[in-house]
Amino acid sequence: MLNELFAILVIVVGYVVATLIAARYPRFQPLIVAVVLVWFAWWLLSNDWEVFSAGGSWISFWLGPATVALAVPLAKQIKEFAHIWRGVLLGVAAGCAVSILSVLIIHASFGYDKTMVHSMLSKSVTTPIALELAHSIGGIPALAALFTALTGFIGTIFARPVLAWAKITDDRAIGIAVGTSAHAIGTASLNRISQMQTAASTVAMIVAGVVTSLFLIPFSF
Amino acid sequence: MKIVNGILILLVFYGAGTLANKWLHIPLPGNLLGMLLLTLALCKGWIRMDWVEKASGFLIRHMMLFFVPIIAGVASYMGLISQDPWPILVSLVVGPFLVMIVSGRVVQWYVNRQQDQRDQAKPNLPQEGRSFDA
Repeated sequence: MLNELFAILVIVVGYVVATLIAARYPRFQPLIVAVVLVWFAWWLLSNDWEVFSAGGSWISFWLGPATVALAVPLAKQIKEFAHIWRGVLLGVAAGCAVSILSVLIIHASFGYDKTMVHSMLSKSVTTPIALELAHSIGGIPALAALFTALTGFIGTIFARPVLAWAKITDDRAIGIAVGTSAHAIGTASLNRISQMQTAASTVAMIVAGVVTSLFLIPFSF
Repeated sequence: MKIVNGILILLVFYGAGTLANKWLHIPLPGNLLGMLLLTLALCKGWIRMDWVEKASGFLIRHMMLFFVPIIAGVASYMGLISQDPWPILVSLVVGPFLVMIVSGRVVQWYVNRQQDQRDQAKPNLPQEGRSFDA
C-alpha cells in the first residue's frame, strides 16, 4: 500500500515537472516528457512494475469522470453547430469509417495480428474513449493509448499543409478535419488560431468518439 | 467546494454509465454513456452548467496526467510492436492523413453547398412570383 502511494507520488511529480518543462520549452510534448520521466524515475527507484500499475490505476481511474466531463464543452458548443449538424455528422462519420478501414486494409495487406489491429482501430478518437474501446474489443489499452497519442502528434504536424493542399478553408471544415483525425492534441494546436476552429474540433473529436464506438460494436463479439 | 460537488456529479454520471453498460448490456463504453447522459441532462437543464463547469474544466485540463501511468506501462509491449512494425507505422501515418482530407472535404462541400443555396435564394427575393424558368 505504501509502495502504491509512492508510485502515485512519482507519477504526479513526473507530470508536474513535465508540464513545467513544456511550458518553458514549447518544443517538448508534455505527454512524452512525462512518460519518459516517470518511466525512468520508477526504473531507478523501484523497478517493480506490478506495484507501479497498481498505484497507477488509482490515477487512470479518473479518465472515466474526465470523459464524462467532455459533456460540458459538447453541450456548450452543440447549439453553435445545430444548423449544420448533418454536414458535421456526415464529415465525422466518413472520417471515422476511413480511419477504421485504413487500419483493416493496411494490416490485412501486411499480415493480420488481431490483438494489434484491435488496439489500433480506435486510434483517431480522444484517448480516454480510445482506451475504453480497445479494452472492450479485446485490444491492449496501453498500446491503444500510445497509438492514439502518436496519431494526434502526426496529424497535428501535417495538418496545415494537408488542409491547404486539399483546399479545406472553411473554419468549421478545418476544425472538424483536425478534431476527427487528431483529437485533443490537434484541437490544442488550433487554440491560438481561431475560436471557431477550436469549437468545431472539440465537437468533432467527441462526436467521433461516439460514432467510432458505434462502428466498432461488431468487433466486440 | 464547487469543484468537489461538480466532481461528485461527474462520478455519479460515470457510475450510471458504467451500470448501464453492465446491466443493460449497452455495447458502448461506460464512460461514453455517462458523457452522453450528462450532455442530455445539461441540454435539458436537469443539471445546471455552473454546477459542473469548474470540475469539468479541471479534469479536462489535467487529462494528460491520467494517461501517464498507462502509457508508461507500454514499455512491456515494445517487443510486440518491434515484431512487425510496418503495418503499425504505415497506418499511423496514412490514417490521420486520409481522415483529415475526407472529413474536411465533406464538411467543406456541405458548407459550400449551403452557401450556394443561400446565394441563389437571395437574388430571387425581390422578384417573388416570377417563374424560375425565365
